[in-house]
Amino acid sequence: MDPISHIAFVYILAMGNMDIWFILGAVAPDIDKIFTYRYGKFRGCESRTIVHELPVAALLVGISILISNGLCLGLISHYVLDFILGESKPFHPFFENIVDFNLELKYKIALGAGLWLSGGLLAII
Amino acid sequence: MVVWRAVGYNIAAFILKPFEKSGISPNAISWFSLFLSVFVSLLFRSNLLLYGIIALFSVLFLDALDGFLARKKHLESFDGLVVDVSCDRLSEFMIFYPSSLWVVLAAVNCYFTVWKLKNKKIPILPLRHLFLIIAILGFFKLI
Repeated sequence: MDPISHIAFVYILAMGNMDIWFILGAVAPDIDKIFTYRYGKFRGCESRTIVHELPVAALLVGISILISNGLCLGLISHYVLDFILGESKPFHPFFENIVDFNLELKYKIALGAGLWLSGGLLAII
Repeated sequence: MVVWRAVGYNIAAFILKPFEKSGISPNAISWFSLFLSVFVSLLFRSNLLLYGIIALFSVLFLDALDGFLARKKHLESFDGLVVDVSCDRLSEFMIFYPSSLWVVLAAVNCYFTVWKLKNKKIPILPLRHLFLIIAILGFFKLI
């Protein structure tokens, strides 16, 4: 999912309260895209690293709640949104089972557009 | 213990029977259960405790339903189990935010889950069930 959708999602979850921690949490897990681009792996879960999967995500979320609530919610929202919309290997590197709900592209686009619109409306209100 | 388990299974089978012949896949139910957790989180954080309790109960019901359907339709697989437990763990994070203690417990539960996937004898902490009981007690001002 694109960074703006992630930020819109955390903005909705934070019910309009926003600071830099929320944004940081919502975009931070995508740091693994550096590796994606470097190694040219652009498809589905192959493009993801352990930063996106549950064992490391649990560690990051557990630590982040002790630093800032905003950072924690940002991370949780990122993982949830990527999990429900994309392909993942949730227990990588322990298990390599791929989870993909096979959501059609039109629904993904609709959900993304819904997030953008809802986030925008919440900001205006 | 075995008798109680059989009684529990039969009660669950009776309640969940209407869903048995539906064309819904267990993974779709897991997906919806995680999606619903987002609303549970929003309801609890908006202090709408009763609606939060109802929504959380629905999440737990769906969680029971996906496993039941998988067994009834003979779709049990390790992949299905992975989908189920990963949805559960993410759902826990979503519901327990912003409570530090509960979020840390949910993080620990993720490692219990990895351990359980390797060794079936390891229990996963029923955190959402506990959270529901505490929320109900809180609603009736018993704690």
